Amino acid sequence: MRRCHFALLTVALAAAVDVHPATAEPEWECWRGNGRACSSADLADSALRQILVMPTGYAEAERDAFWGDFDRLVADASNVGSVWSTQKKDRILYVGCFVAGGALGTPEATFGGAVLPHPVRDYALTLSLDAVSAKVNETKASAIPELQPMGVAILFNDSSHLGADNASPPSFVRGPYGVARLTRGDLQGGYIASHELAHAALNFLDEYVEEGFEHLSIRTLDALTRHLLLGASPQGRPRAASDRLAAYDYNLSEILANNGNDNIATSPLPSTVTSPISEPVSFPYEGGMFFGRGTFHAAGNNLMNSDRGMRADDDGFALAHSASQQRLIDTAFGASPYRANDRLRNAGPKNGWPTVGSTATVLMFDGDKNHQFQPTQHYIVQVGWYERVWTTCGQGARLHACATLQWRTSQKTVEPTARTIDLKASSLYGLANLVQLLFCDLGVAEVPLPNGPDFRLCERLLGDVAVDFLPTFTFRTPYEETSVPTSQSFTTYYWRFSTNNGHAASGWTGWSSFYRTF
Amino acid sequence: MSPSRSRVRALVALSLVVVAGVFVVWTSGGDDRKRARVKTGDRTVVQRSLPAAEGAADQIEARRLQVEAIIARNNAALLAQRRAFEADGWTFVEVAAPDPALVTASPELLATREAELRAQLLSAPPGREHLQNVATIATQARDAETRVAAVDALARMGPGDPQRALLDVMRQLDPVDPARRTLVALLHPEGTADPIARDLIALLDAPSVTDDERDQIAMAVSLSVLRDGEGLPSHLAHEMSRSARALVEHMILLAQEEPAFARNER
Repeated sequence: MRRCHFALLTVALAAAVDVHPATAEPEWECWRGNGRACSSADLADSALRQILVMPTGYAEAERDAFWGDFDRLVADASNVGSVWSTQKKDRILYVGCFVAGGALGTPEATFGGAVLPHPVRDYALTLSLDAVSAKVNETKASAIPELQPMGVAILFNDSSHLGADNASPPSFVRGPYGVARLTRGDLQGGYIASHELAHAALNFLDEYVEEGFEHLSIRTLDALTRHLLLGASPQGRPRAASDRLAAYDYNLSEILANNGNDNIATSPLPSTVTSPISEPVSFPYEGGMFFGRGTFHAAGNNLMNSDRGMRADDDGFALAHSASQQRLIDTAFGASPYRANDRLRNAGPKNGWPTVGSTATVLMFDGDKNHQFQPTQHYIVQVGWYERVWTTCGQGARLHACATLQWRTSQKTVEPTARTIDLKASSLYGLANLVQLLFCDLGVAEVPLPNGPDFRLCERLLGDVAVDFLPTFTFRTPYEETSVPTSQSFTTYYWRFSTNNGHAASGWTGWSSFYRTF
Repeated sequence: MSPSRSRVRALVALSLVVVAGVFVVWTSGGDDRKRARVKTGDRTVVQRSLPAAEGAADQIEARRLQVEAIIARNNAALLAQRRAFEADGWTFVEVAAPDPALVTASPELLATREAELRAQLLSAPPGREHLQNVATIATQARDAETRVAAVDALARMGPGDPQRALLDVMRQLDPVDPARRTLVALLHPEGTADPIARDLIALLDAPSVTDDERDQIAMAVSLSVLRDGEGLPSHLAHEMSRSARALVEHMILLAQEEPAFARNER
């Protein structure tokens, strides 16, 4: 395998030239998954995709060990069954970046990496996502301007805690890439690396179910939505906020499991409107993302599933992908979106809801708003109402004013805006452990605090933390809203919307209505 | 002619005079308008006209001006509405009006337009006023996908009656029906004081409920208990069988299970 070595301060390279390091010890290297040399032109090629690999727990003296592990990761992930990293190895650039530090679990460990007991599994790999993000930005600013990773892998210098690997998908870290945490002991065979990187780079969620939760539905958690969002005792809740949540259909399950992750949805019928370029997606098998019930995925044995609790022969593990996943992989590597953004719902005001005042707000649920590869580019919202149009009837002595009802529709293009929602740990009370379990499993392992280092969610029991120091979980939401100038009192307004992902426009949602009172 | 008979005749005549007077006032008096109900499409509107002119051309012209003033006044509001939309960046387009049968989720559509009805339920769930229609669809639809969409739409209507409707639907569906599998997870008591919590507890001992469903119902109850933060209320505990109580307590423990790292530290 031929590497292209680049050293810091030697990035003024001629395009497509394999450059040897200016120093004997490379800080970073780049090679293709197929073993071919990687050039600076490759790095700038928007048709290629980048995976950034960095270490934690490796000392300066272990530099060679890191590069050996890096080699192994690339070779194994590129030659395992027919998984995405093997299929697309010609199109993947692996960029290794060595950062020396202290041992795992010490304050000097790179990115604060540590192996700690995990709420669900025996152990978990944790680190500071902020520190990883800062390093990516620094590298891009100084050494590799073309750096634009679709996923980041952090190699933990540990061989004794097998199976502790995990990942934070981009949708849960609110960034352009997710972060996979891998031990060097788990690199063998390529399965772990390709699986965890599928979370981090493709935004896939697990399609298997955690033991003990086979009969638990994620929809059960929707009952907690108002509680978590309002963040106060029922007596202390602001009336306006409470009313708003009654009129609008926010759901914790959608925020967690129907929010840009293409392979999982909270309905077996994720396509709620037509797509001009595809048939409706069908997710016949229930389970995934921790829960045995309430989440659904496509048929086809694949890398993100397991053979435990199979609902049919094609609901298990394989070093391959379901047809549904494959379409997304092709899109991730440059093909046009395979469907319109068709996972939509009018989310409020609830049908027929009375509104007051000359402006109403309509809420749109869009499961693809935060899609990693085909996010919604714009919405078209239509609002209609019956106008009482007065005109003359009769003539001469019989002339009189009469009214006809005429249907009037207006529409507006709405650009998506980043919207987040805060779930306050201080309002969890007896549910703290359950939510902690869930979020740790999802890869929400580090929560930024306003005045200090990240809150390491999977290291400390929430119930033991003083209320004032509890974190607030901030999630991107799959909801978009726009205001409607409802100047006519005592009028029923109808509304609907469609999406456009830059390649295809979706069909319209059905018409919903709300009633302007005063 | 007897005095009483003549009194009756006088009363009848007086009544006729009063009725005629009312008729005259109604048709030409007061605000010199007359009102009639007319139908336009499916909407009833009020039609207004001026009293008949008394023949002269200038009176006809006066009527015309008066009518136009009424029209201008009445249309001002809708023009203001249009301007408000335009000022906010909206443009007017020609689009067909909503089909009332779809908006109200009429079960009659099951016969010929089930796919459209399903799309409506999924993308624009009907409001509570159409609860009965949706409940009917949940049990009567031919396609399981439509029944699933209907139970989902019922759940989105919120607490109270929709939750009771879901319980009714559950009783009518076979345990292997995909809609029933979806439905059980959508039963959410607002809290332990919600009457639905009591209904759910009763279901824990019902022979018609599968073990799988029992677990989900017990978890829904346990989340209510944990959310309220005051333990299993006595009014519920007294109504529970020993096995039902054990199951709810198991689910409470499951939801409260300490993460492994905490257990290791203690």
